[in-house]
Amino acid sequence: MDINLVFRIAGLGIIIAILNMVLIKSGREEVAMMTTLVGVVIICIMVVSLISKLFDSVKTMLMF
Amino acid sequence: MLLKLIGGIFIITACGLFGIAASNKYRGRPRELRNLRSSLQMLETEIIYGATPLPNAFNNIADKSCKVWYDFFKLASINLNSGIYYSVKEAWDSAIEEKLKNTNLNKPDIELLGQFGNILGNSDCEDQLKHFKLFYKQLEQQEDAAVEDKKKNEKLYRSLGFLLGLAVFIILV
Amino acid sequence: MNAGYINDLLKYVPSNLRGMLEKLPDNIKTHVEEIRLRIGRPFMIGGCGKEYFLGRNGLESVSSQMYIVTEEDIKSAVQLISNFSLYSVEDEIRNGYITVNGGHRIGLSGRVVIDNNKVRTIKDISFLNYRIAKQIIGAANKIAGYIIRSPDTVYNTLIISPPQCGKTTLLRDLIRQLSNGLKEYNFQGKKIGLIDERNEIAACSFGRPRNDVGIRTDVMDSCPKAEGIIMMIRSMSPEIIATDEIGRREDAEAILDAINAGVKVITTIHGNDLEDFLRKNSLEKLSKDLFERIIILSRKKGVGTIDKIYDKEANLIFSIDDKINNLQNKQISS
Repeated sequence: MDINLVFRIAGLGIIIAILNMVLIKSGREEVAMMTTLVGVVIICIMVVSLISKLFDSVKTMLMF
Repeated sequence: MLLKLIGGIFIITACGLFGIAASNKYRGRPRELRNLRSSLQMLETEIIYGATPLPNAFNNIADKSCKVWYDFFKLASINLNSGIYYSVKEAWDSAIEEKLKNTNLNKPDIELLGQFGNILGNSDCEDQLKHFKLFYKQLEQQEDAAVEDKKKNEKLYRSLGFLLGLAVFIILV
Repeated sequence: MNAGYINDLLKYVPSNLRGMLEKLPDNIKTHVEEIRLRIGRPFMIGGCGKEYFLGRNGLESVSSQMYIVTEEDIKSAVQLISNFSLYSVEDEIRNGYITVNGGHRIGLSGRVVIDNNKVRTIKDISFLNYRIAKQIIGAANKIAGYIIRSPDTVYNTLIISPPQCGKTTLLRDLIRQLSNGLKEYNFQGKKIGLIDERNEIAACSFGRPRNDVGIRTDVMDSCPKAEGIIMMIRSMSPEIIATDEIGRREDAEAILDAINAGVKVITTIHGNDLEDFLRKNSLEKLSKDLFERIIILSRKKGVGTIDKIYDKEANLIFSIDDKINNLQNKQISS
C-alpha cells in the first residue's frame, strides 16, 4: 500500500475543487461540471489497478 | 526525486505562463479600445474643426496616440501618401492587416474598425460627424463587452493555467 | 511650355486612366488644356480647340475602342482629388470645383443637394473636368505699359474676357510684374493685396502661393471677395487690390469702397465685350468710368490675345485689328 497515492488523490481533489470554484465564479457551470467529471475519471483510472487487485484478493480469499 | 521536482516546477511554470498570456489578452483589449476611442476623438477634431486631409490627420493623431495606434495610424498615413491605394478603404484595410492582427483586439473589433474605414473621408463634415457618433456607440458596446470579458476571464485564465500545471504534475508524479 | 503641367495632374487621375494619358505623344501632352471624365462616356481630352479621345493604347479614333469612363473611375478620381478627404474640400465642392497643387482646377458636376435655397453639396459626382492652369511668365508684357500711369501709380483696370481666354494667366502675370516693379517703365513695385477667392491666381496650398505672384503681394486665399477686400484694406495697407471674376453686387460695393479709399483695383469679369459688362445689373454701381483701363481678351490669335483696350471715356486706345490706329491713339493719349 502506497501512501503516495492517497496524497495524489487528495491533491487532485483539492485542485479540482478550486478549479470548479473558479469556473463557477466566472459563469462557466458546464465547464466546471466537465472538469469535475474529468477529475473523477482521472482518479478512477489511477485507482482502477488497485481495485482490480482488491477484487483479485477477494477472489483468492473466497476460492481457497 | 530531485529530478522529478525540477521537472514538476518546469511544468507548473510553463502552464502558469500560458495562463498569464491568455489572461493578458483580456486585460489589454479594453485598454486598446479605450485608446482607440481617444485617438478617434482627436481624428474627429481634426476632421470637423480642422478640415485636415486624412493623410495629415492620421499623421497628427499618430504622434499623440499610444504604441499600437501610433503604428497603425502612421502606416495608414504612409499608405495614403504612397499613391498605391485608390481609396481610404484599401489603405485602411492594409494597415489593419499589417498592424492589428497581433494585438489583443478580437475579430469583431477589427471588423468594426474595417467598416469604419469604409466611410472615412467619403462625405461632408456633417455626415462624418454622424458616422463618428455611431462608431463611438458601437465602440462603447465593444468596450463594455471587453471590460466584462476582462472581469470574467482575466483571473480565471491565470489560475486555470497554474492549477492545470499542478494537476498534471500530480498525475504524472 | 513643357509637359510638366499635365504631369502635375496625373496623380489626381485614377491609375488606369493615368496609363493612357502617359502614352500620349509629347506634342499633345504639352497642349492639353482639359481632361474630361464623364460617367459612361468616352474618356476625352481637349486642347487648342481640338478634342481627342483615348483608348487603351493612347489616342483612339475608332469609337468602339474608346475607353468608357466607369463609376469606379470617377469615385477613385474624386478620392484622389480630395486627398481622400471629401470633407476637407466641402466649401470648394459647393463652388463646383477643387483647386489642387499647382493651381489646376478640377470642375465637378453631379446631383446637387439644396439646403435653404443654397447649394449644400454635390452628391453623386459624375462629371469631372481637369483644367490645366498654366503660369506663363511674361503674359502681361504687352499690357503692362498701358496700365502704368506714372512711375508711382497705376490705372484702375478691368479685364473682360470670355472663359478660357487666359484672363487669369494675364492677371497673375500682371500682378507679378506690378509687384516686383518694372525697370523699363521706371516703375517701383507696389504692395498688392490679392484676394484669391477661387485660389486660382496664386494657387496657395496651406497658405503658401505656388505660383509666382511677386515679392510685394499679400494673398488672402479662398476668401469671399467682398469681405476679403475690406479686410485687406484694413489690415495690410495695400496700394493695389487685385481680384478675379467679380460678379455679385457685394463685390461691386467692395470695389467701390476700395477705389474710394484710394486703393487701385485690378480685376476681371466674364464677358465678350464692353457692352456685356455694362449690361450686368449687379455691377451697375461700377459705371464704366470708374475703370480707367478696360482690356478685352479674345482668342482671335490664340489664347490670351489682347483684343482691345479702352480708356476711361471708352475710347479705343488699342485694337488688334488696327495696329496703326492704336499707335496714333497712344501718342494722343500720352
